This record gives sequence, structure tokens and C-alpha cells, in this order.
Amino acid sequence: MSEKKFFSVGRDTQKKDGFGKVTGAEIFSCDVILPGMLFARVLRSPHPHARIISVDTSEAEAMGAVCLTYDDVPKKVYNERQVSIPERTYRDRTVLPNIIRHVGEGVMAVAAPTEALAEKALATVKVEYELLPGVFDPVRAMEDGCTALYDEVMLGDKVLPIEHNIACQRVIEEGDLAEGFAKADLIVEDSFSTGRVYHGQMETKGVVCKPEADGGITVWPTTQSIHNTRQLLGRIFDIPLSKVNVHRVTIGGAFGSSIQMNTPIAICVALARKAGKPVKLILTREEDMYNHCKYPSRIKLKYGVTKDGLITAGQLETLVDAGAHNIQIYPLLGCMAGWFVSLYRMPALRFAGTGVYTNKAPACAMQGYGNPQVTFAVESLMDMIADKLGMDPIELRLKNYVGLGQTFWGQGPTVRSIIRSCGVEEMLVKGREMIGWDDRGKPEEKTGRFRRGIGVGRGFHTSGTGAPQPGEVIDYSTAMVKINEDGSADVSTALMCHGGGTLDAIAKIVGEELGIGVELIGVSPSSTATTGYDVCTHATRGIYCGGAAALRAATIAKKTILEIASKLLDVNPEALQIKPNPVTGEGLIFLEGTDKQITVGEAAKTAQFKGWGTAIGVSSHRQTNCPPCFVTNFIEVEVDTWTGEIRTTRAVAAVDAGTVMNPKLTAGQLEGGLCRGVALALLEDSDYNPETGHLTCNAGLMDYKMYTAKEMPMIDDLQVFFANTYEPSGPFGAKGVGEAANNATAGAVANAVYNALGIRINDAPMTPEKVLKRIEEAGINS
Amino acid sequence: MHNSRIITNDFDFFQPTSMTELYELLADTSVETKLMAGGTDLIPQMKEGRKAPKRVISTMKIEELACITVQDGILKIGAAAKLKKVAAACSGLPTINALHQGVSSVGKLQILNMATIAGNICTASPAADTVPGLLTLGSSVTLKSVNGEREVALRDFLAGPGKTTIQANEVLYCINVPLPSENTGSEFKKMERVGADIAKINISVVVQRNGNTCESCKVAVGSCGPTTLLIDKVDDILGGQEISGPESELIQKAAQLVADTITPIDDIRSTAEYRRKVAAVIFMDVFQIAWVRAKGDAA
Repeated sequence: MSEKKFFSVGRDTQKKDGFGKVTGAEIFSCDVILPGMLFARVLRSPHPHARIISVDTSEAEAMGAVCLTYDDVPKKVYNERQVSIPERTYRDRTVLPNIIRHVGEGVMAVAAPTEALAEKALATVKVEYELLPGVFDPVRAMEDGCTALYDEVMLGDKVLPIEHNIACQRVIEEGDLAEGFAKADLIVEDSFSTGRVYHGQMETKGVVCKPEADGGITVWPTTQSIHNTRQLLGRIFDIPLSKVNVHRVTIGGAFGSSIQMNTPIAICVALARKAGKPVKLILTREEDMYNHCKYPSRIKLKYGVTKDGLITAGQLETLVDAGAHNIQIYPLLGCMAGWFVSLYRMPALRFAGTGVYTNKAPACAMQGYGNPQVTFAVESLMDMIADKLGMDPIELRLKNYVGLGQTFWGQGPTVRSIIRSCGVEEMLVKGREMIGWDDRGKPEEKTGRFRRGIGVGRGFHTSGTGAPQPGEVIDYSTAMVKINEDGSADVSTALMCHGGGTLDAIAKIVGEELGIGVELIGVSPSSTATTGYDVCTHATRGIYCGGAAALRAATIAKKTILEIASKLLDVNPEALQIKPNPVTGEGLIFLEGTDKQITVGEAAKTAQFKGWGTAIGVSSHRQTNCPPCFVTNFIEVEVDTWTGEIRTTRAVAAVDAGTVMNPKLTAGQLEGGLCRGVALALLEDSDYNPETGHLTCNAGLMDYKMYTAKEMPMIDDLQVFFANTYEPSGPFGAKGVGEAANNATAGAVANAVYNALGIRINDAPMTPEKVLKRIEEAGINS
Repeated sequence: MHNSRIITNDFDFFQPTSMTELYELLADTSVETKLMAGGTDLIPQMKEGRKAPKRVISTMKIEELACITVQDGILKIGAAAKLKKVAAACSGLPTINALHQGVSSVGKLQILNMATIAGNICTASPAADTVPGLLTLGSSVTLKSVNGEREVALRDFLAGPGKTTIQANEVLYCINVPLPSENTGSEFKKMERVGADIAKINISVVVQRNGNTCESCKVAVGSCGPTTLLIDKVDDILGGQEISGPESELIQKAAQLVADTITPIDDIRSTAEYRRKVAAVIFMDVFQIAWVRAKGDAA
């Protein structure tokens, strides 16, 4: 319930980097060119599991290439993800390996004056491998006698033996489970799985590194966290952080693919240091596809409910395929538990998760971080329960949802806070009307070749990982705001914008607080040398957590400029206010009811002339809440029962994001999230050849397919709306949006398909081949 | 792992401006040469290292190769005409709608603006989207060389996946599409994983109709065999027969024949089993539209 009137927040404004991006003027990592720069290429293993016996680089060196092998790199064992505290960080890799654990893993690297020469040099390198058996199936991986990927890894500073290829296991329990299920009138359970989805961010991972004369390095990487990249490089290469400067470079999309300090960064730094020259390393699409993917998961879910539809107990077991490296299984499992418990109230619950090593590209966070996978299962099962109880699925959801005043621990058991804003009911009630829910009909009433169905799916994501207590996940941001001598202002943070408008929102928050139009707020280029620590732009935390730090910094700068103005106007600073000129955006400091006034620019300039200093504010801040941004999707599909093809014909996507910073960008987030969510349900997967360990899609976008506008509903059939909520702990009432947009969709699609056909498909993606088979089995056309 | 960003092998690049110049270049058979039209297949193949010619000869600067004309009831499409232009030329000719649809479905705008019809044919992909339409319309290709020219029926030109009967010194000069009589209807449909994909299966049907009698029915199915398959036997079932309805027994028999005749395989895009199942469905869909289209002019 927004009571404040904002002049900048909540209005559609021109995206600050929009012109640069559409005209090609924006500089991405691959655009960085330095004098004397070499181009790097990495030799990728064709084998899924092998010991490197020898690497002969003599021919490549004779061609003038600088070569980097295992012998050249520091042997520090690291984890590219630096968001958990060290005791909870599993470490299992080095800059280059001596044992290859997946096809496409880097064996060695070369740098040469041109990319073509580097590529030719790479072709001359001879590697002798001792082939080891590949392990591709996570269930098989845990069996006795299966080849081990690791004997041991590091957990914090301790050696952790690895048994049965199990990277990590977690069991989280609350309440009396047996009692909970005993109280149930109905127990419903089923198994679900989702595919191995590739991030498909537009820009592949890349980096440029310049070795400095003083032994330091300057780095321009694709990353969502410049500070974690800096810290990790400092540790691996043993360089003081004051000599490691990581620049924030515009990134061409992320979806979580650069939460970690990606592996090419360390390889590039090692090459640049060996060459004594700047080196650029940009992954090809093929390399990128062998670098990371979404966590494919298998989920067994069970709920107990009373005949009135109240949940008495819930249990979720999951098996997660980690791939060849444990990037973040421990926090992932905590979050998957959090996603499970936070949609619906359960007096008793049990979560058991296992992450398993296999010889495949390592999985990492991707848009939702286990949430789309869990919510697909939860929302499917909710509809199955409603069906068995003869209850409307929306009623069942309204009866059980976790809402206002209740404890919420979406980011895992240590990140608990109380919900203070909630638009769940509003979205369900309004969305129901917009989609025409009450006319959707029952599956058994539908006939004919083309059958339509409507499904609902709820979802949410957290706004960051803040909490009253410090937990196992680091979460804080730093910002600096200074008012310039002409009345404009600069904000400097280490936050990233992945394309969703995070930095525009930061500028708006600062402008709103300072009383200056957003067009006069500059977002400073930033680097680790010039900004305070920010954990990472991930976990849908940019606006809520990063924005809160920026707001605090702006408040300090505002206090200073008002003190300056108060001296010039001879009034108490507390009595002064600032409002922007509606045309120029210039801030006007004034005393209400009088003619005492001065522009922010005049005050700042006068302070400069008088030597009173700059109005500047710095804040390093951790949010003590972690509010959910709820989403609701209503989706209509049309199934061709003769071919099994499914079209998304209509959709309503709603979000409870608190105060919406930029409505068009938020709508865009919801639409993009919906598109990707529909693809999770219907399309995206990347299979591995069980013999060779290669991706069957040949690691290219020719055969790894993603949806575009063409597969989305027509523009008038895709409606978006925002719940009218205000988050008291957020900057100007805002919560997050980003990942939430994706989380409700797959379940809504599955429920819509059920409504159309009366067939429940639990193993995504629901390809036409699979759907047609299920239609035939059900005898629908006969 | 290949580097799809750059072409690493060195090659000479030629852009002749006349057929004579082109013949001269082709006369030198001592080095491995590739003719390139739009390059939308060849360039990715060279980046992936699947092709590594020493010479690439582009046909793009030869103006006469890009001509599209209608002569004596035959649509002559110059080999190097861009698909966007071919689509535009077809759009005014309702009886060859199937060709228009096939050409337009090869890719999105970027591909249509670069790719050519000769390229689509000479790549000889079983999934080529321009081919089913061309085959069902009874098209032929004109091949030229320094020694003269010859005309070959398209169905004889396509020899297998990636194979045609073109000789090393020959150039595909133009494609000849006989414009059918006005009582003809045609339709093309492509099933794909997402929009602008390579076909899982594509089908073109050309029907000649006299009242409720099907005078002839030509069917071609792509992505379901070593080349696009022209299934003549459908005409044996439907030719000269009265068509009582879109799902009549006769149509179902023809559809079953289509499904039984194709020889699909399992690949990354789909399965043999699925292709067989939907081939019959798509045939019926496509026939129905072509049939209705034919009526307008036949009545």
C-alpha cells in the first residue's frame, strides 16, 4: 500500500545504458583492447575423465605462442563461488587441472598475437591422457564400486574425503513428521524432474587481464561480483588486494552464469602473468556451453492434507546432478529446502537433498537457483491435491500460503525473517478474473484435436540473502553518493546490471532521496579499487540490498548539503526540504511557507568556493530482512493432440515486488522470466551422450534451442500486473523481481496441460515426442 | 573443440563479376574449391572445420545469376537470388504458395537476406525447406559450364545427403519452376522445435482439382530420408478420385502411405517414430489446405 508519492521511483524512464547498447558504443569485455595484447585459447578435453600424463607444447612455442600448463599454475585449490563463508565453501579445483573431469574442461592454454595463430598453435599441442571411466548418471555414481571423481576435496581449511561421489548432503527437519502425516486425511506424492538447462546468456564469458609493472593485475571480466573476483585472484596468485583491480564491465546478460569468478578468468590471469603482456580470453559459445548449466534435479515430493485442504506435513527429497565440480551444492540444498517450505505452511516437514558428482559440465546457479525446479514440483502437486479433494486449486492455495506476519526462510534455514508485505491473495484473485479461470472447464469435458487448458502457478524469490543474524551466506553492499558542484550527483557501487535495470533503479533511489531528477544522477564506472565491498548481484538482491546501501549513502550526502544550505539560508537544516525542478530535474532546497530557497547546485558550488567540502555519503549496509517477492502466473496452453505440440496461447503474469522502480523494465522481466519458464517446461534440456560424455546438441545454438518472441503469446494475450504492496524494509518500499519472474511458470504450464488433457507430465521438458506418447497411452484420440 | 568465432585456415577468395570469369576460375581444378552463394551454410562449416577449401569463389557479384523472370509459363529463379527476393517473386503467384512458404521458412530475416535458393539446393540437406515445394512443382535445374549447359530434373539432381550430380566445373545457373494451371492448390508445412529451426519434418503438397475430383496430387517429404522424398504413389491413390472429405478413408490411406514410405531416423531434432506418426497428420493438414486453395480457381 504505497502512501508516498514519488517523482522518480515508479515512473518509466530512459534506461541509462540504452543508447550505448543499441548503437554498439557500450564496451563489453570482448571490446577491451590494450596495446600489445595477446589472444588466448584454451585446449579443451575431448574426454570426460582422464589423467593428463604429458603435454608437449614445443611446436606451439616454436610458433611464438605462450603456453600455460598445469605445471605453470599455482596449485591453490579453489571454488569459483565466494558467496558462502569459508567454512561452508567446498573447494575442488585448480587454475588448470591434472585430472580432467568433464568434456570441455581446460587442459592447457596458449596466447598469441592473433586469435587465429593461437588456434593454430593449440592444434599442435600434443596431450597424452590416461583415460578413466566416465560417470554420467547421478544414481549410478552413488553405487558401490563406481569410479570416483574425487578421493577428497577441501571444505574450508579441512580435508573432506568424498565417498560414493557424493559432493554434499543435507537433511533439514522441523516439527514431528510422523505426527503430521498421521493427521492427514490424504497423502499425495509423486516424482518430478527438470532438464539440464544452459544459461544461454547473450555474451559468452570472457576476460582481459593486464599484468602491471608493480606485480599487480588489472582485470576486465564478465562477472556479477567484481569484489569476489578480486579476492579470489588475490588468494590464488598471492597478490595483495591493493594490487588487484577488477573493473566493472557491462555484461551481456548473466542468468547466474557469472555469479562465480569464472574459470577462464584465472587461466587468463596466469597466461598474462607468464607472458608479461595483456591477454584477452573470450569463450566461444561451445566452450561456454561446456562451462556451466542449471542444476538438473530429480525431486520426490509428498504432502499430507486434511480433507479441508490444510497441509499437515510435507517431505521433499532431491537428487541434484552437480557435474564435475561442487560450485555451490551446500547453499543450493539449503535454498531448495527454503523454496520448499516458503510457499505453503507445513506444521512438520523434512527436506533431504543430495548433490552428486558426475563427469559433466559443472552446474551452477541459474535464474531461481533451484527454485523453478522445486516450485514446478510443489505447484504440480498442489493441483493434484486439489483434484483429489475436489477443491478449486486457487482455494487450496489461498488456504495454505505463507503470508503476512509469518516467518519466511526462502534462502535456507539461517536466513529467517518476517513477511511484512504480501500480494499473494490480490494476485490470485485478480489473475483469476483476467484469465477467465472460472470458464476453464474440466479436462474430461474437452474434446477435439486442439484442446485448451488453463493452469495457475505460484512462485516467489527472496530479495537477497540478508537476515537479522549473520548466516552462512555473505550479504551486504556498499555505496558512495556525492553531490557535484553543479547540482548533479554521482553514485558509485560495485553492483552489476545484468540488463534488468538494477543500476537505473539505484540512480532513481538516490535521486528520489536527494530530491534530484534521475537524469542528473550519474552511475560511476566502478572498480574494486574505487568501491567498497558488495557481495554479488545475485539472489534478486540488487534493488533491495544494493539499493538500501545507496539510499543510506544518499541520506548522508543529503544531510550534508542541507547543512551547507542551512548556513547559507540561515535556517535549521532539519527544516529544509529538497524537490526537483520538474523540467530540468535540478534540486531546489527550500523552507516551506517562505521564500528562502537555493538550488542544490548553488549550495554545492558555494561550498566549494568557501572550502566547506563536498556533500558526500558512504554506506556499507546489510539488510536485516529477506522479503519474498511473490509471483503468480496464469497460463493457457493449446495442445495439438495429434502431434503433441503445445502452444502457449495466453498468459497473465503478476508480481508482488513492493514499489516497482521502472514499470516497463519490470514488465519486461516478467515476460522474459515467463518465456524462459515456459521453455523449462516444454523445451530446454541438454543431454549427454552416455558413451562419450559429449553434449548431444554438439554444444551449439544450432541444436540447443531457446524460445523467442515467436513462441510467446501474442502481445495482447500476455498481460502483466503488479500487486499494490509496499515493503517497509525496502528502499522506497521496493523488493526484488528478477529471478521470481521465472519461478512460477513451469508449474503453471504443467497444470494447464493437465487441464487440457487430464494428463499430468512430471518430467520436464514436455517435448511433442513425449506428449504424443502420453496422449496415446491415455487413449485420448481413440 | 572448434572455434566457431573465426576461420583459422587460409584460403583465397574470389568474386567474379561474369560467368566467363567464373568458368575461368573453375577451370583450375588443382586446388580444393568451394562455390559460395550466400555463405550461410559454408561459413559456419568452415568455422567448425568441417570444410577447409583453399579457394572460395563467391557468386554474389554476378548480376545475371540473381535474376528472377517468368518465361513461357516457367518461373526462372537465378541461382544466386536471395531468398527474400525469391519469396517476394512467389508471393504474387497463388498456385505456387507451397514454394513461397518453404522459401520464407528457411530462417529469420538475417538468413533470408543472405541465403540463396541454389545454396539451399546444392547443400543437399534432406531438411532443405525450399526443396519439397520445388519437387512437387516438377522443377528442374539448369547447369552451366564452359562446355555448355544442361537441364536436369531436380529429383535427379539430388543424390543423397550433401550430394548432388553437379560436376566440378559446373555451376547451378537457375531453377525452373513450371507454373501450374489455375486449378492447382499447394501448401507447405514445416514442423520445428522452435521458430526458424531446421525442420523435424517438412511436407509440400500440390493438388490439381476438377470439381470434387483430384486430378493429381504430388507430395514431397523432407527430413525423413537421405534426400527430400517425392512420393509418387500418393498420386496412384488419389489421382482421378473423388474426394469426399478432409478425413475420408482415401485421404487416410494416402496419409498412411506417406508415413509408410518415408525412412526417417532418430536425430537431435526428433525421433524416427515421432516423424512417422506426425507425417500422416501433417500430410492431411497440408492436403486439406491445398485442396481448398485449388477450388477457388477450378470452380
